[in-house]
Amino acid sequence: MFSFKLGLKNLTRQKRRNIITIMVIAFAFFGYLFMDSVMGGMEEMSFSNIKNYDTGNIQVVHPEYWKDREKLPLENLIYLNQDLEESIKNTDGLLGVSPELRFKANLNNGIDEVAVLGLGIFPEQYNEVFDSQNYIFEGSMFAPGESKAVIGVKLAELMDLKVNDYITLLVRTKEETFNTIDVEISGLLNAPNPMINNGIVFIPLDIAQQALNVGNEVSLLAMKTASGDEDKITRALMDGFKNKNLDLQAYSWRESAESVIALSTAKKSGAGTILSVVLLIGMIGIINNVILSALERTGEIGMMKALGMREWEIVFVFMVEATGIGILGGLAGCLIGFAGVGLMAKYGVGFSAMGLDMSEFGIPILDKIYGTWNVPAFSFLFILSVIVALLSSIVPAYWAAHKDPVKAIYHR
Amino acid sequence: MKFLWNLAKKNLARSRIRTSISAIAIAVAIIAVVFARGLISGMIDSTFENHINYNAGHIRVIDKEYKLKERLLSLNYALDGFNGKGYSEMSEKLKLVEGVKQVVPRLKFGAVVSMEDELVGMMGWGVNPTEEIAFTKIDEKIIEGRMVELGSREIIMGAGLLEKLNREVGDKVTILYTTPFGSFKGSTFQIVGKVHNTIQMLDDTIFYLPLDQAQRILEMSGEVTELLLITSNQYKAASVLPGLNALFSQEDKTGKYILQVWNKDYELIGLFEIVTKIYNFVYIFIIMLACFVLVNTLIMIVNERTREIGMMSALGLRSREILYLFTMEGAIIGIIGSAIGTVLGGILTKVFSVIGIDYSAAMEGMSSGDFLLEPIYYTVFSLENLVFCFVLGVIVVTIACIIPARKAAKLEPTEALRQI
Repeated sequence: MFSFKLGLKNLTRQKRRNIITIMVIAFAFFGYLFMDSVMGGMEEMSFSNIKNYDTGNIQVVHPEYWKDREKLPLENLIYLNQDLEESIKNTDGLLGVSPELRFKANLNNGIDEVAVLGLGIFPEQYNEVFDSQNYIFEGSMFAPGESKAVIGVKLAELMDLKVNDYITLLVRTKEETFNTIDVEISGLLNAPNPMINNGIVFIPLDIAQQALNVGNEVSLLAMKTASGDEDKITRALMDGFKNKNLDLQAYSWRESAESVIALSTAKKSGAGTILSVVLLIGMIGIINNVILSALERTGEIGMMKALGMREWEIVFVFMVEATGIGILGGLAGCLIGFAGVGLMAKYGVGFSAMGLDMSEFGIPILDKIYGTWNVPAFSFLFILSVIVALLSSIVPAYWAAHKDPVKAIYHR
Repeated sequence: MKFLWNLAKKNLARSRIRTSISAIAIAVAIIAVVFARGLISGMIDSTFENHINYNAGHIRVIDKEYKLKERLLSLNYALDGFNGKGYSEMSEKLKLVEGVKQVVPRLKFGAVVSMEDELVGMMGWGVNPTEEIAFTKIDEKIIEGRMVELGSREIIMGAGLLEKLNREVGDKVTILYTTPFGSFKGSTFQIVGKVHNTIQMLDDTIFYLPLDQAQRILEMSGEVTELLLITSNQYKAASVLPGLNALFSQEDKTGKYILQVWNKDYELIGLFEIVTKIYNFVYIFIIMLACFVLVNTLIMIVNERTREIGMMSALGLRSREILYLFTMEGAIIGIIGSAIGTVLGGILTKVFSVIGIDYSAAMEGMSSGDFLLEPIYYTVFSLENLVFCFVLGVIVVTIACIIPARKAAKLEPTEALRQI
């Protein structure tokens, strides 16, 4: 107890030095937390992009289709029947269900041709699941049964198309015969998703089904749920399918986002490297602090030893001091980190301000990037700082305590 | 001055452990900076190299309209030379412009191969084999077979594409394509080589064929989609522009051609410039952190020697000289730390410039083609990097040392002497 008190008291002796060491730790943490927040913001943005514009929260597809989904086959489709509708209706927590028919198509404007992804949808149901309708830039969405299409602005620009122009989609039907779909453009989309802007043509589901000769079948059902509910509802859906003997599978958006998740893991390993360098410097700062205190107090240490204090007690005194610095540094770092992340989360940084259109690079960021709150990172860093301070003080404290008392007093 | 220098050196030896801890802190920071810079420039260099090799050359001559329609691989906006006299006459004239070392013609077009029930989309590059070998050293990337030859009906393909088509070197393949006049045609070629490209997208989609064959099948004799101009130094490519502009204004009455410099007219490059700037701040941040450790030590040194400082100033050392003395002490630690850091960091970057860092697991499934990113990075070991980091370390440390040194210089001799 005495050593503990002594350690605490020592903490206030060299205020300036301790404050500088605390600042080292605090700034290091601030840097890390800020970076982490920005990266989290980017990740969050790409995830919500996937959820809100591409897959929905859950996709229900045939397992065989899932394997080949990148190739957009017209086999292993879902037949929309009573059983399926019932089992979906019985599932709680679904905020919207949108059947989609995805197909490969070549868009022809009479001069050039470009490969696009065709998407047959029911506009009303699609709007329940996805956010795209908020981004109609010009014109309007089509109604079911109309021979109309909605395309992205970038695609329209590329192909010199305007609202009310006619386009031809060259497709292959289920039987591999060629067919064309002639539609009038009813609207242009400018969504914060590069894929929608660059390469998707939306047409009414019934028109697509007719042209592709797939009857009442769709590729997948995209569903919206409250975020966080995906796993629970996925399980409920699967049970429902099993009861009805439907060979269907429900996948949460995470499974479609594998590449994005892999990418963010790679980024995190980069952040981890920087964190370890920064922590290493913080560690050296603490070691330095302990050594400087020990050098200053050589005589004192000798005196304490001569008076009968044991070596481990002296080590303990120094460790208390160092841990105190760790705690204060961690707290200070979390506080400035809190302020920095708070500002970032509220105001964000605009890429357009830097004169860059990020969507050009296939990164789904249109305008601004906001920070995210990563609460575990704060507590993790705080605990880490205390542990690092504690551990890195042991060796120099032992070095200080190990001095011969006679020599130590004689030092003066 | 010499005296102060010697005194500073001697003072540092007074507590070796203290000095070495501060030097280690600086060294760790410098190692991190050297390595990070090496890695970043490795990434940027490889991306720039790919950008130059596959997209831009040093300067690219294209039709104005082509820029907008590039994604379509449109053949309607091809280069047919000055006033329609063919590209070869144009490239001869371009070669005469001072600074232009090489002119690489390319004819890029979209094509498909029909496989049982599906069509495999590809990108065909009609190239002049000798120019292409001289420019991108494509012969080194051919892992089987040989490069195509002008005049013969042969092609080489990316390894990934060959696999998709289920073909081997030596097989024949029929390619379907649309001519600029809108007719859909097919031609059969023999596959004479297999190219391995580390960029997945290119490996999976590209085939090369002799330029004359491409022009023949597409009915575009004398035309190419782009001419890449190579200069002796990519960073000085823009200096060739005046000569080129003079040539174009003289020869090209229509004004339909534009010149794109590789590092100016592409948005990708702007992104990299911003990234580099952000990283420069990170480097300074790391070194500053290490400086705090050093400042701490220096403050203690000043405190310890208060009496000494009083004595020195009483003996006639001016406060400016005391400032020098302590700044020098800090600077010496900075120099030692930076030197150790530079050497160790240099060794580290050298090692990784040979073995490389493999990101392929992390980039799986990512469309690396958009960025022209390589899956394996090699750090760049360059003297420029080492010198830069050393100088940056010494400068930042020396500036940081001025704060505690000023404190020492401001002490009044009488006050300082009185203190125990």
